[in-house]
Amino acid sequence: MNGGRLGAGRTAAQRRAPRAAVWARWVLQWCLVAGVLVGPPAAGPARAAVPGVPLVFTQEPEQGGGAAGSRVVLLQEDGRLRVLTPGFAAAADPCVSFDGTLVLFAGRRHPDDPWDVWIMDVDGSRQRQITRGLGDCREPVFLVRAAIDAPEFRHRVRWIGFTSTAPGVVDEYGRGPLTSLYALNLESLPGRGPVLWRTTFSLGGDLAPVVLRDGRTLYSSWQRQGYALMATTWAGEEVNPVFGSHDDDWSQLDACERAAARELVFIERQGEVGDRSGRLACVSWRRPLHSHRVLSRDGGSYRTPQALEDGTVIVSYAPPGRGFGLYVFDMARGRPGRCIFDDPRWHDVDPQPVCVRPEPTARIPMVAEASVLDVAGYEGAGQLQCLDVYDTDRPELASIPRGAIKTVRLIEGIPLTAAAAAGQACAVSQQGAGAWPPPCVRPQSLGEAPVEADGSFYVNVPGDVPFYVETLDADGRVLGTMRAWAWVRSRDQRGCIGCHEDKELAPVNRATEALIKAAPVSLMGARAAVRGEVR
Amino acid sequence: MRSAQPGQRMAADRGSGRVVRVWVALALCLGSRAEAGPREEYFSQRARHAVAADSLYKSPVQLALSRDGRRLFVACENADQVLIVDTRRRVVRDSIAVGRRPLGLALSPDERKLFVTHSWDNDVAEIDLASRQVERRIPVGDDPHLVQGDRDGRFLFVANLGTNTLSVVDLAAGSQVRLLRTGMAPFGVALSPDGSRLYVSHQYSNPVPFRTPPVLELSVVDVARQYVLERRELHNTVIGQGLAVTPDGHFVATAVELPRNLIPETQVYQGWMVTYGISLTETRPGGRTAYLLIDEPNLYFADPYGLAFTPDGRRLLISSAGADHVTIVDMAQVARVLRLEDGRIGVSDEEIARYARHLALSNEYVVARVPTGANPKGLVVSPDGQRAYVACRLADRVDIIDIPAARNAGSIRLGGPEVVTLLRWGAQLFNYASISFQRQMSCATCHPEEGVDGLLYDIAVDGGMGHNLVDNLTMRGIADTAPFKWTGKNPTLERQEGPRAAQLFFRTHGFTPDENRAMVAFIESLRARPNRYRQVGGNLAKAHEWGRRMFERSYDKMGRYIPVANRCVTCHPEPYGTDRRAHDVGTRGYHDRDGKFDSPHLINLYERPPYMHDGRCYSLEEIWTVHNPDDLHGVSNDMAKEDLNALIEYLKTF
Repeated sequence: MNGGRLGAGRTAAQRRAPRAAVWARWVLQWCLVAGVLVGPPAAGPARAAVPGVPLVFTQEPEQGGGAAGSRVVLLQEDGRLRVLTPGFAAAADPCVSFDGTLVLFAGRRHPDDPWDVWIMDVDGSRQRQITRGLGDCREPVFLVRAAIDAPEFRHRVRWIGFTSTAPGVVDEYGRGPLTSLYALNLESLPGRGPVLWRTTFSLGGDLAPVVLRDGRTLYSSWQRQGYALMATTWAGEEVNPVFGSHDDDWSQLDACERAAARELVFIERQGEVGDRSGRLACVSWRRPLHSHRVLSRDGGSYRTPQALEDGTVIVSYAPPGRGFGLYVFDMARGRPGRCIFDDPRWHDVDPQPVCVRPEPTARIPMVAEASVLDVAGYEGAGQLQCLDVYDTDRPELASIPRGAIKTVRLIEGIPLTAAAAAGQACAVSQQGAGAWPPPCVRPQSLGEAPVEADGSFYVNVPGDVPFYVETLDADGRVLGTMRAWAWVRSRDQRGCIGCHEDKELAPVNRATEALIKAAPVSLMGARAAVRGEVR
Repeated sequence: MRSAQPGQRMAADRGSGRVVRVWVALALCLGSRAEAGPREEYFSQRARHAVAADSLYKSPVQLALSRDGRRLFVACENADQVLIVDTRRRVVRDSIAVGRRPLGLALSPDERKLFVTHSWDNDVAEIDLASRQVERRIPVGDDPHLVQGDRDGRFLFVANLGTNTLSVVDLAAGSQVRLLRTGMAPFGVALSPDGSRLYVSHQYSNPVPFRTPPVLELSVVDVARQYVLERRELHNTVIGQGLAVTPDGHFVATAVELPRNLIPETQVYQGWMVTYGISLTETRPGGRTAYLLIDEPNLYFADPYGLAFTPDGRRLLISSAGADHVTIVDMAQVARVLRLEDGRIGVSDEEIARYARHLALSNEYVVARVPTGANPKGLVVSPDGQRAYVACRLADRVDIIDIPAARNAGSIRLGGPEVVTLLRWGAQLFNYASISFQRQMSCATCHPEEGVDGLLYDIAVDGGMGHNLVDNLTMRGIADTAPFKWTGKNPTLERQEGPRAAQLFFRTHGFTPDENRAMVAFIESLRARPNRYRQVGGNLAKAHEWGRRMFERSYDKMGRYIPVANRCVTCHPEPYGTDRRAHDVGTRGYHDRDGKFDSPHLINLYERPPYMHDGRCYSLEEIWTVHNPDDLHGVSNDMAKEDLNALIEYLKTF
């Protein structure tokens, strides 16, 4: 219950006010007490968002500190709250399995422990640790059931994804440890131990993974000035932008999918992400790049939306001056509706329904040991081809005359350890937000490859290595610079349509000159001789 | 919203019955004319997995509607029947036994006669609707598909997919009086509102230079003078099937696929493998064509088949056979997007090129997606424009679409079995695109009517991008022709349709083991069409005998010995025309990593160009006249042209 902040006695000023105004003020106060006019309903007895559907969620200490000291709880059907993680110094980020019987979460037994991924039954029993020695592992999600045992791919096992600081480096702007996405088999593979794959290689930091119905992993990825929504397969192939920009400091975070409505709902905020709260927004799958609309109209703070199968969206919402509680979001009115649960001693966030959910579409990956690609002589290499470097939606690139680009240079980004970063004083405050290349990354040329007259190129590249691309003219001058990280997974093949092509366009059907030659340039060796200085 | 998985859809289609999977089938003779010998045995081969119910499915494929909208005629290709449906009572009133594989339907102007093409009998039947009897059958070309009569009821125009021709049938004479050359594999025919022009869609690309995009022909026929007036080109399109003319006569819309066969198959996302839509062609002479997709950025509507305009021209309906949906398009929005005015497309060529790639543009003109039963095919609209009927081929029903409400308004069951057999399930899996990422393609996308699409592909992982280009192969008649793939790497159909297809094409986890078994059973059950050059059990014609001697000869015309390994008959023995081994016959291309290829079977070779492992030959002749300079692919350089012609004619008899 809220703590009776309303309803204090009349002041001297009020007693002297005109009678009508006094009368109006009394009416207003009683209405506020009744919770009729403004603000969300007062937190009454806890109820499940959907009758019969319990909720697992995180409670963060109200006094602040984020996940430190947090706990994972279960709001049962009868409205009672049960702490699932006693004995943990901190526990957060629950994710319920598709069959509704298991919960993944991130936890630390002792305050000084790193975060690790744990799993338990939905009643909190049978807790067991999943990750060890991988830095801080957070935000676990259940992924698909997929096989990687080539060539028959018979043994489908459950995979989980999570974010981790395992790379052991700082992010590209020196804001802190770099977090990347990883995939790990939850069930054992015959004759194999754990298989751990890093699945994103961007250097800005990736977080908030969530599984889509089509089997991809949607996540928020730092793009120079803010987080944008990206998607990749569960194994890290075909990374593509979904929504967001690297030209402004708006961030899109903590997305969820309203499958029936074919929408993505997410948190949006400008500037520092802080506790990742913001306004509620959405895009439609029918046209994600051009269907953005803001859902919340009340100006309040929202976190961690979660969509139920019937399209209901549950949000964490904090009225002004109060902590976060769980509410059903009223899509029609653009504001919180019914309060599900709100304990003022805690911030109640990250609700996860305990129910059966449809399995996402699985995929046999074409990476690493599951791939049949062998780039002769190069272990773990990948292949990249671009159809037309002139195919772009960027005005500054569209002005480059066709034929002017003679070469592409691929530049690897080598991240820095914390010590090296401190030594280089490369923090963003000194370099300016959005600087490129980012200050806490050492660029190293992988080499150059010719661009054919039709704009195509074809290269073999080291797998699992982040790089960006520069286009050069005949004199080696840079005509265009990609300001984001790309990569090709180990033993994967990737095609690009153009240089920042319009993402709503399918490729042109043609055999490019680079493919007709079918002689990819190898960028696998040591740093190649380049013209000019690579900055 | 994704439709149910085939197994679930199977449950939805079952009515009150349970799903029954028959693992050990009662072998059923499929109506062969078998006599003796290996060829005959092949063609009369018992379907290993067929059960009685398999012969009872209707498989409705095309529709025709009376002018008053009360009688719906349904061509049922599996049952060899035409059904007459009372649309008001939504019941089947009558059934008429017809020939093999009825497909196209056309009513006479006085609606006393119904014309039905038989794709396996190469003729068109005339049915008297009063007596419900087939009065006569008129031979036409090979594999006749859709049919259209002229406005006077004097002539029929029949698209012969197998012979690349259009038959003109004089109904008074009761015979074909003219044969017009069309593009490759004519499929559909549509008459202009004034009756002066006939438009013909095509399934395969016209011959194009190697590694260039496909080009479908849209033939324009002068109905009065009965000749091909124009041959329009639909760029980068294939599998053109249903077509319709706008009620004002200004445009012809064709359902098409827009493939990406020339770029390496490294991914599926963003329309990388194939997209779907319509071409819209100005009917004025030399008019332009624009292309609009019906897909969305994260969801595709595979295998568009039937097209129909409402009588007022305001709506266009398109059945997506691989997505179990009918898309409803607002033509006013299309007109706005393309700036249509006075029968002309107003946008620039650059905009046309851009729109042909634009996955999100459908948001402008698609007003509804109506779910249907399995494998929606032929489509007709009621005269008042309020309803559409769509033949759900693998659900044995006709669905009714309420056009203003944009919803499925119910079904008319056609009386097929409620049970879903193993083969039926396999057919549904083959035709349903949910097997692929974002529903981008079904097996039928590249194998329409279980055949070929006539395209070459760059399956990127095979040797790297740009290497080892391969031609698409038929699914028909391949049951006993293992191994598979041009390299022969896949020893079984299970492997071919299993993880490889899932990993490289569909980009999902593919079929479950049970689904794979159903798929394999279905593919194994597919027979080749009756070969028009040689009937089962029939003898070779004299011309074929000459060719056979060339095929089996041990000495060339100069008396030089031909080694056994270099004789045609060695690698291509009867009955299938393959020894099922890999050989290097000097056909390695510049893009090939290796020169050894599995001997392809020769069954119905004539109906599936192009040829060679990479599809570089559009005609059989080229295999030897262009690509056999060193006599490595059999000895042919000593042959006179008539020898080669005879050889080729013999090859066609397989």
